[in-house]
Amino acid sequence: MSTVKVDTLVASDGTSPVTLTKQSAAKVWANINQSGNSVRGSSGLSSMTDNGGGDVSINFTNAFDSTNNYAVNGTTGSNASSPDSYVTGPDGDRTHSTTTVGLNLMNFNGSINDQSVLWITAHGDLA
Amino acid sequence: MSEIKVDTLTGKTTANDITVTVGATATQSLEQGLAKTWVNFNGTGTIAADDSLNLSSLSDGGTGLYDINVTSAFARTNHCSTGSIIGDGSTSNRSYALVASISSNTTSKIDIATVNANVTEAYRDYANISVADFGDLA
Repeated sequence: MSTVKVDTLVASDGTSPVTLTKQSAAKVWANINQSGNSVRGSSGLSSMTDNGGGDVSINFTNAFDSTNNYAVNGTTGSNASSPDSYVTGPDGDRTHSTTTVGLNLMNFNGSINDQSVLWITAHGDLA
Repeated sequence: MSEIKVDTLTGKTTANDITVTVGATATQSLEQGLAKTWVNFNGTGTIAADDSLNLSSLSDGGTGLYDINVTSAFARTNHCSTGSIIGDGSTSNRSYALVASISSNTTSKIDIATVNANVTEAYRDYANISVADFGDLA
């Protein structure tokens, strides 16, 4: 077995992204208290914008290389004992760019409401 | 193109911290970007994993309620799970949701629920559930 100890990995040209064989790293993950407007833990998240009532914009630290070339996956919920909500988006009323995506936390009755739990990930190539 | 063949990569300064170039100029922590747990499992009947990473066991908490127990614990309870469900094709409205419940999450357990998001808004078992979890391991 071989082990390489290294602090930084970069492609051989000195600038290009590193290819991970049969692996792809998530560029963003975040555990958000959306109703409390706070972030419990994250990577690649610059900020969250509370647009009110379960309408939220997620802002990335690093830009993706294209607006349509990254995928966001979200799970939401609350501490309630009954099932309550799911994530929809991108929200067409909000900016959708390489650095921002708008999401709605949708209750099963069709209303949009704040939730105490919002978990998101984003995968794709960065600029 | 150059290629390094190696079995293990370890941070030189800090064991779990390797910076990788992930864009033209952007860099990020390799450790942060890797899923620490993932599982595809059958949540009907006697629940069972089809394939997984860092999974110690699955617990059935009742209809549509599951605990995903991990082998290597997370550093904190603030880890992040996302996932999806393949419907069974027989349920009206065909809208399915993976619901998070952080109230009983621990560093070694992910608490999720699967729901048929039709008018009954009912917890429901599904045969094909996929979950991935991100965060720092202990």
